[in-house]
Amino acid sequence: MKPTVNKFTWKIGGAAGNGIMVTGAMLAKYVTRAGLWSVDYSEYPSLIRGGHNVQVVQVDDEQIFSHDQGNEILVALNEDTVRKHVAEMSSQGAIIFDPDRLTINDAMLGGRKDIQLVPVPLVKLALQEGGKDLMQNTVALGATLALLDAPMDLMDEIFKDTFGEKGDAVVQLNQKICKAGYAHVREQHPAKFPWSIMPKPQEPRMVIDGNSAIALGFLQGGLTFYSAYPMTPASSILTTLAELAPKYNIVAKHAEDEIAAVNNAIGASFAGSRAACGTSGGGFSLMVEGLGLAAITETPLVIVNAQRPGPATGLPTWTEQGDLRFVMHASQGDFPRIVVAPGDPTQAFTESARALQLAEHYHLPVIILTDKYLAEGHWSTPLFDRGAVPMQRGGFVAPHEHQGKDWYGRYADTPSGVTPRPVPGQAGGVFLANSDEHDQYGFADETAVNRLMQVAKRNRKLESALPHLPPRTILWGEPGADVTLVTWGSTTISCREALRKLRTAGVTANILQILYILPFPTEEVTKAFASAKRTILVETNSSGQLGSVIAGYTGKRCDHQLLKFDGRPFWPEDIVSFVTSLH
Amino acid sequence: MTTPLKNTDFNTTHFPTWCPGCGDFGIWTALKNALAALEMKPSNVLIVYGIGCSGNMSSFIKSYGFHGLHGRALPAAIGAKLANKNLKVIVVGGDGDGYGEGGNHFIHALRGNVDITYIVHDNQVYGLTKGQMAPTTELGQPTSSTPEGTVDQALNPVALAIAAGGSFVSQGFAGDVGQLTQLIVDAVKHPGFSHVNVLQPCVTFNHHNTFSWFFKRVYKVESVQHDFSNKYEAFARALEWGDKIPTGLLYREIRPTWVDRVHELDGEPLATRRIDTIDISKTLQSFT
Repeated sequence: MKPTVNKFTWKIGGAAGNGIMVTGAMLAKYVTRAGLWSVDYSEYPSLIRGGHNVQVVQVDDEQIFSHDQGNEILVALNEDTVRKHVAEMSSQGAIIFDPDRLTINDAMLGGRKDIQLVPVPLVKLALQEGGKDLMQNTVALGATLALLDAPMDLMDEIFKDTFGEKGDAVVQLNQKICKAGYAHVREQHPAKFPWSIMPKPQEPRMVIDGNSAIALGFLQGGLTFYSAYPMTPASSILTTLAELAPKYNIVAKHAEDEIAAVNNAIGASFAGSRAACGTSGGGFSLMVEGLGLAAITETPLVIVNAQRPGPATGLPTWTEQGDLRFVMHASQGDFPRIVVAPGDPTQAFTESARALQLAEHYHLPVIILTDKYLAEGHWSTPLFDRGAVPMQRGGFVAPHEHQGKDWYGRYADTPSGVTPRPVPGQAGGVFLANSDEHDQYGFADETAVNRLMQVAKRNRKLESALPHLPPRTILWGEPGADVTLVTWGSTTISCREALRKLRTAGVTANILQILYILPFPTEEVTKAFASAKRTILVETNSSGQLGSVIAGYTGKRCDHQLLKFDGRPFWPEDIVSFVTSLH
Repeated sequence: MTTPLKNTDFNTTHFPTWCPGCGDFGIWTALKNALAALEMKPSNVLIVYGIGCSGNMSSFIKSYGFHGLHGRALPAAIGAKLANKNLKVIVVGGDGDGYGEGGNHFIHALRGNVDITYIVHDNQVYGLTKGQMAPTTELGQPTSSTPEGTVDQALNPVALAIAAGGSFVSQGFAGDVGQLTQLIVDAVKHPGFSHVNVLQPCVTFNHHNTFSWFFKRVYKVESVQHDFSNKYEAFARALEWGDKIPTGLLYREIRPTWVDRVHELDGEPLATRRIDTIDISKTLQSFT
């Protein structure tokens, strides 16, 4: 078989609690430092122990976005892993397993004769070198690198950078255990594996998940207060910010529930902080009344909704884009908001920083809509541009601008709809923020003329924000293609991978990604549809929510729709085969 | 020399819309008295209000105000205090608002000990929505939502506050403005979460717990040499209801506040920190 360099998929499977997620992250870091591109994705049930957990790392010479279903190396920590994943294996692919714990027979392999079995005494080697059971993962990592003929010194450096803070002993233990796996494979299975890694020089890149990108975007955007109640798949925004809190002197507050979380953030923002809160759909449901409170009191607020399949508890650890229409209209009443749906970690970083700034300048709620796939998947990514959203404070009134006044007209009408705000404690700026409809000082006012003025003023802020938004749609690929994939959020990633594959299949395609759902880019989408030859709506929900939103704003309907709602993201093959079947 | 503040410095151009004879007038007066006594200028204090007749006080007191959601005044106030620890934050709400709709926030605010003051109008009934059962309505009392009498036992807010870890738990009476003023002053001065449950009649919807009903029953705990530092004694006293109802400071302990315990809050308040010099490059590097 022809050798393949720098292109393979690695998969590890075991019971929850086996620590497999960390192993995949280390491998992703390795290949990224080796100048390659990786994407990883995990599947796990809502369990802490037991169940079947899988992590996949796909590696490529070129930038890749989402992985396909093939697999070259399978690390099987239990029998389930072999049985469930053997069918996906490439011919000549390898299964690394611990012969002391697992016996692989023909029946488990489903009759496959073209798979290499690589027995490595994972636990024994870990214990022999002075580690614990769980460090079998590190042995497996060493075995993987040996199979791929990859240099070990690069891994040594990663251990040093990752565990350096824990002391030399921890670094050396990891290095030793990893080497034991490496040496074992070198001796027992010398050089007959068709896939290999050949490092190449490159600019530094990160391996990062969507939630970390949001946390970093918030820090870059000047966030000082974050409140949340844990909920998969949003929890790691809270835990990441909590871990970084001492470094950046911020508060990441674990609130008693999501209602408290949203009201905490509103209070902090009212007092002058850049504040945000985050959750998944269930928690967002609880935050909905707070969303309206931020709107009527014109208090800046940023909320992250990392979607998972609902309704109710739904599929807690899987992915879906089922909340689009919900977040667009959530809360009683009719008020403006911004909804942004990042489609990769870089967009998540930039738009999170921007969300804080937009909320502060325009006194609006901004919702960042992601999903489990983006939130918890990891991608090799160029270093984020820290200057993408230059820091600029806005929307405040300086004390000297209202000196000598008894009450400040915080809700007085203005041409832009934005009335600069004082913060509590500021002399002479006294006003009432009122969840009742109110006059310019905040006093309840139920007159028709005031109501009309206040609604118009609030709505006008969205128009004022428009020139300060980035392009709200992104066209990936060449204009004039045979097929246009119309999509949003994390499904953009799957579409971008499909684009690469369609090119090879001889089909020209491009992608219309709608980055800002609100304010809806009606003009841009209308134009894009006018020049598209054939449009295919691609999203992970069962009713085609984006399609109906587009139809509502533009009157245009997509020619075809490809929907997926089994909790899994689109595999690029799903999209490629749908597109090619149309031709 | 600055002129001392007067009760009337906290008036607005709006006069209260409460029913004539409502207990809210007493609480309103006591709060303004306390603000004047504490020499807190209207621009230095933030009052966060719940929704109900109590929350309508937002239009009748001059200060920075935040009239939020029903039951959600506490978390908004806590967020504001954490963002600006130098701000004096007072929360005004009602029994249905704070013990019903917002009960969860009350329990956790007591645990967290954020340095704010929580004044609750406890009239044992829903006023603004016209006479339905409140969490503190006495068992068996007919209300518009329980015409045959309530079947849920009444909540005891001060006993709950002590049990949940409150560091300042007190009970006032809207018919004793002098005592209530002092309680609010002490509560605001207390370093930590201070709770003032204020007993009051609802002249329109509660014909059982009237002013005269209360006058016959309330007594000041100072008069019986109550030891407010003894949690067991405080709890026993807090449980009293019926023939004798205690008022005054029931329980107090000094322990670190939320802000004391969180070192990220040392120094400049969050809200006034510089955010244009943040450098995340090292953290980015850790992802390479």
